[in-house]
Amino acid sequence: MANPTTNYGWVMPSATDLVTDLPADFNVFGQGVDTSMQYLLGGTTGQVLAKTSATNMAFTWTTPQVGDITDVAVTSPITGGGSSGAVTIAIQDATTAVKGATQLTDSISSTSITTAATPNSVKTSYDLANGAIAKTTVTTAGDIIYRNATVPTRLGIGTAGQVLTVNSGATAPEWAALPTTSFPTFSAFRQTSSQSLTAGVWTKVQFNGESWDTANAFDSTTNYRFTPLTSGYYQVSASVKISGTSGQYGAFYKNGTEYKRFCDGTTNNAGSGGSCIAFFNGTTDYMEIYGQGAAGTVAVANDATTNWFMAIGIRS
Amino acid sequence: MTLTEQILTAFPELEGTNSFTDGTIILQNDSDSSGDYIARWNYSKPIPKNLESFKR
Repeated sequence: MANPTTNYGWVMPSATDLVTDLPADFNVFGQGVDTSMQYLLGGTTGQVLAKTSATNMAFTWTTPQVGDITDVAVTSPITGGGSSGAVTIAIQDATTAVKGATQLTDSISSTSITTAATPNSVKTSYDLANGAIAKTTVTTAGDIIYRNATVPTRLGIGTAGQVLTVNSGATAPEWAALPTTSFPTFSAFRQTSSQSLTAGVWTKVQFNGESWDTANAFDSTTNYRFTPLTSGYYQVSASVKISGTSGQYGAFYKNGTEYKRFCDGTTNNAGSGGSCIAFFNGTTDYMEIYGQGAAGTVAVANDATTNWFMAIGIRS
Repeated sequence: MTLTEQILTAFPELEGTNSFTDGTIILQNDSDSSGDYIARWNYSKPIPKNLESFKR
């Protein structure tokens, strides 16, 4: 053993000390031990030693305070704990199956099942929902939504055949019947006596009989012309049968001028017809049929089957 | 004598041609009280003096 002792520095008698010096040596040794152990004296039941400073052997007896931790017992989601040694605790991660610590996120699009929304992300989602059109705005299959002056508004489904249009005030959509244009149509023919023509002269054919004329657009008594008062494109058709020799001719005359020729030198006395499409302005435009026999005695027979003129509107 | 015949008399070379249907000479009658008239004259020779009144 080292002398003095390694930890406390107590001095003990050495092998060369005289016997007569032993009482004094033990006195020194004993006093050293007494000094070192002085702080361990005293105390009462339940007290514990506590360091009073960083100095070696600087202790004092103290009574533990109520509430001082002597044991850490944990339950989920806290883990760890213990009553001795280094005690550590932790919080387990939360899942949809167990409670625990969660990571906050501002995302409003995340599909995570291990993170939690912040008030900020909740507000963002709320604002979006608050600005959305309420599902209850529409109530019936086929309803549509439009915005009136201030808010989204329901427009109930229309009825069969209706089309969506804008109201007269141009403020909102509405359902309305499909607009239709009632185009005039007529069918005229040469009736009563035949009409004599001068050979070589384009002569207006006098269609003086009518099968129908829905809008009185055809004049079968004076001008023998079709003057529709509804503008649009019309299909006009005609056929002529002109006697004579050297060929027969027929043409659509629009506003007094040849527009389309439908018969150009075909055999006399044989019905020959044709059709074309023309635009009428609904006010002044008109159509007539002119025919010509090249030579001989020329006439338009009173034959409703071969001398006729008709038209019908096809679109605006 | 018809207007056509008068023209053919003045210009016999037009007999048997398409001059009255190809746009060279257009004779027209609007089925009113005006009778036959010359609506267009694109023939190389002028309208005969005695027929000028038929030009419209």
